[in-house]
Amino acid sequence: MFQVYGIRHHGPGSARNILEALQVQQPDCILVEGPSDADSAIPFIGTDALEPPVSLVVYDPKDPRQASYYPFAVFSPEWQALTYANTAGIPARFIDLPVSLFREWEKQQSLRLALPPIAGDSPASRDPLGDIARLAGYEDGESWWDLMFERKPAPARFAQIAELMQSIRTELPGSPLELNTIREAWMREAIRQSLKQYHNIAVICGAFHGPALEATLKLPASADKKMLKGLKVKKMTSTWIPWTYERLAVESGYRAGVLSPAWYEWLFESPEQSAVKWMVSAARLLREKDLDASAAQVIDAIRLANTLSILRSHEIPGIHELQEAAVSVLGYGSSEQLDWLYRQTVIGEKMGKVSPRVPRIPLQEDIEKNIKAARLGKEWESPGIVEKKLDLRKPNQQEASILLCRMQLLGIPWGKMTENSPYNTGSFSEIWQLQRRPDFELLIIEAGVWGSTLAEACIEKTKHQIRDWDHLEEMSALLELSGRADLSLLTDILIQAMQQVAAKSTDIADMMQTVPRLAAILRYGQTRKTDRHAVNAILDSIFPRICIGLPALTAQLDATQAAMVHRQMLEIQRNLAILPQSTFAADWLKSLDVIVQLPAAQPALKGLATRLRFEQQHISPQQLGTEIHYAMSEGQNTTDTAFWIEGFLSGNSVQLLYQPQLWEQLNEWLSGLPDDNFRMVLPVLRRTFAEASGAERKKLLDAARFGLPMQQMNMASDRINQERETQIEVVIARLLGWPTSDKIR
Amino acid sequence: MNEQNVIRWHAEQGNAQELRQLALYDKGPKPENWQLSPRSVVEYLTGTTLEDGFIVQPKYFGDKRLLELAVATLATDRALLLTGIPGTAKTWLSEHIAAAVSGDSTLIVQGTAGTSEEAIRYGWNYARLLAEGPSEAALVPSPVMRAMQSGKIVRVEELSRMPAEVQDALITILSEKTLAIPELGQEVQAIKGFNLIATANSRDQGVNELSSALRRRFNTVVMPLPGTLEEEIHIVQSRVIQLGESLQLPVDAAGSTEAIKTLVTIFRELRSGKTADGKMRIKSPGSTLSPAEAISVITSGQALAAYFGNGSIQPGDIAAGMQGAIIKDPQHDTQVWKEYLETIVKERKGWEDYYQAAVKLLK
Repeated sequence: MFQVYGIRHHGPGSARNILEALQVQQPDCILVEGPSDADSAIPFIGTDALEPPVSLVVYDPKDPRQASYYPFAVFSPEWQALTYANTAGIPARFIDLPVSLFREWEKQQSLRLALPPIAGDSPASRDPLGDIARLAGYEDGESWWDLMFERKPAPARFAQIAELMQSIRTELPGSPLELNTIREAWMREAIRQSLKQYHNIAVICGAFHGPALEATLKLPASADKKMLKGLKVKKMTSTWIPWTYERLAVESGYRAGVLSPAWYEWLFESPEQSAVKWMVSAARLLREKDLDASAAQVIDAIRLANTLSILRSHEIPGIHELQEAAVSVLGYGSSEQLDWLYRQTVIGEKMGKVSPRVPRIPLQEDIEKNIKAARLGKEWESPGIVEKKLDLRKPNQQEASILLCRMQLLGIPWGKMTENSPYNTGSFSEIWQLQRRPDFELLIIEAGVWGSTLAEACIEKTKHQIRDWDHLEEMSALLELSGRADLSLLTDILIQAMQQVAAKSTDIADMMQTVPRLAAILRYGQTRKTDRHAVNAILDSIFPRICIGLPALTAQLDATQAAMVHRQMLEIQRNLAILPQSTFAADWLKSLDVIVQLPAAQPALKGLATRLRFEQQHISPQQLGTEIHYAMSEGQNTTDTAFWIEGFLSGNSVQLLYQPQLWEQLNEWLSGLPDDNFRMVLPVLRRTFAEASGAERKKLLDAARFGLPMQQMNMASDRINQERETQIEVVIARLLGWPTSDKIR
Repeated sequence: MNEQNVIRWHAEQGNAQELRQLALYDKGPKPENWQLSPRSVVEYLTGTTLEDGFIVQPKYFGDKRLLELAVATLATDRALLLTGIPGTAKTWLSEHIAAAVSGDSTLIVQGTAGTSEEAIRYGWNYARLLAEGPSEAALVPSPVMRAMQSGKIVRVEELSRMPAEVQDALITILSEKTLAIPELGQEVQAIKGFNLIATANSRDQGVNELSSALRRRFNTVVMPLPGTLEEEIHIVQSRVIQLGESLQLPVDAAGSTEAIKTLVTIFRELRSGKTADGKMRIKSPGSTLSPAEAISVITSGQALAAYFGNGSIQPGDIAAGMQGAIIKDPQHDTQVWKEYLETIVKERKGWEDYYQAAVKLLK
């Protein structure tokens, strides 16, 4: 005797119904629609080795990239049924077609795609539930089914579902899908086999297959046998990996996905109070973000959701009603603000856990393969710190560098490039420190959720990581890393994401930090031509905005922030020359002009802007004199002037020695200061000169004591010894590899 | 007053027959003092065909879920706030909801910078007040107070234009559902069916933001602009026909279809900053370019065509109105409009006359 239960995959109501039905039936064996070559994975279900959401992975050990995933959540009926079996200590089996046969069929199918569709296989037959739902006035099959069968659990539903499916199957126009026919034959055979041994079997399958399995004993076994004859099953390996609700959601493209995993969990855990619990949890999240969400509002929102569901003749509110009520009451009508709430409370951010006791996954094997190929096997085995010098011109050493960069992207900190690595100067060698930690295995298993090969996992993980980043600087760091990790696909994704962020960013400081990074990528990175275009496009988009926004920014900074912006301005200045865009320099100088003239701008940055313009020969020495004069004129606040001097001189105070005019002006200003004011500005001035090296300070001191060395130097430059000059020229020419013959007179 | 000469009917007058028919077939449970059940109210708004074949015209084109949310709100004890940029049918919708729910859309407080607290609470007939002292007879109730007493919907237009302190007079009314009259030692307790629909512009300048205490007492529904070109054309067209009828403009309404399509396309493109096929980016003017503005451009175009033209609407008839709607800031918007004319309108097939007419005006 056997009992068939038609369920919807990941249906919370179905899950509860199954539990109750099993309690009543007390079966001696449970059969579940799932790949029958993965039976070895069943014993882990319901034990502390797995914490859903997790996914069953079935893969060909010879080619782990070809892996099939079967995710389960706590509200999946199959999960609950198998947990029941393992707890009660009764045998449980998967009865669906083995993965290798699925594959085989898919392969044939893709060859067959070129042929015209078979007559009679009308599009309507693809979505019979959708048709019924539309007849009943619903938008899609999903929401109709959800409302009818999942929202309120009741074991009697199984009979209704079976009847519904039976009539769908009979009424359905055209021939049934070939794959389904084979699968159902296989499942019937599996049931017949089990019936030899057990006498009270529970069969759990997708609702659509229910009638076909119900009829197992009425249909001749010989027909099924004939259909399955000659099918060859290849050996596959199966294991468990952690899964996320996000990937379970339809968005990630899984075929039997669900729209709202987090909501389904509430619905499974406490169907009667799901609406209240959902709204309360949403309100708590809002409060964590310091947004208004009082208890009174929660009550009102639940009331509104209830009224809405009555208006739409639903028994209890579903996630649509709850969301609409939350937007209207808690979000004051604006759904944009609640987008993140949707991600947390409707989709959910839960990630499952798999204990290391469970067998290995494809990603683990792929990483080991990569390590061997890069000849880092010995280093991978050794527990201590190993230093490794890589010459990127040698193929397998370059492969090692790529591997290490990819591990970094994946968040497995095996290798660390040492700070003094000469990479950034464009040389071909890298120095890495490698240290293996015991928890890496776990990290890899966790990363298994992102893909079955290292490259794929890196891409998926990074994609996930950056999905709501809005800082260009961090993204440009990843961009650099992805270039070094040789992942052109990821590079494309990052560039695209950066273009989007760049288009709407208003964070001038962030954009400023990004410029040197992008410049470094253009200069040293192993980038393709197309990427260089794209990086340039990003620069084109942000640089003009930096120039426009910087002046306003300089007017609203405190001293610490000003120091940061100071550094960034110097960085940009340094990189300006190597950027290919010729218009940038002019924009930049224009922006500096504005800063100098902006009364509210930080004086230190004004000083810096003045200096940068002078260095770029944008202003004449005469104008420089005038500007210095303005800055030091008596009307100015003394402290401001001191800051101005700091900005002007910082990191380059020796210039005083070569600018007699400046020296005199500074001297005049300082000696003109009243005592009190002098004491006030002294700390700033000390700090300004503290940055200079000892020798430089000595020179400055000498100049203060004995007057500037400038005049003598200038005079000396008029009387260069021609003979000596020639001698030096020859040496320099040789060093530079110029032909020397014509240089020697 | 001769009812024949009224320029514009109230919703409950103009659609009296529809409301009667709906009530006839209304089987749903009705909240106390509601004329129709919530579901019939939604059907009144979206339009439907009744069992006897009677057709209820749609009043609002767009998302049905949004209407359900609005009507469900009124059935709870929270008030409804409709916000959105100008011309998204906020007032229109609030009038029709009030008409369908209470059968009366005339209890209305118009929010302006000069609206005083009396308009929300109550005022006095000063002659009587002086003669008799405070008494019920000397009291002049506000629309809000009358709605409370009769269990009806009261509408507050342009809530955010009222001074903040006047807005806040609504807080106790909405949360306690009572209005105290300390002068008489009395209070008015709202009877069932009372609720409030407020509308507020989200884009206008010079508005007074709602205090958070008041905001919390409202369920907010943000009214969207029409989603598709077809939807927007449909909205403009059906309103233009209605208006034309009540203004008795002797034009053939069908002849204006082409003009409406062109105008709505132009408005949508300028609003979204890209061409309808999504291939080109263009600049957007500062003006809102809502369906309401399209409607008034077409209607005035019709008036021009009817009285000064040959009765069928020509590009020249709407060009001036179009320019007036688009150019709100003479400097920026003029530039945007010129660019759009030169790059898009000029090149597009069948739009040559519009281009000529518009360019002539710009010179």
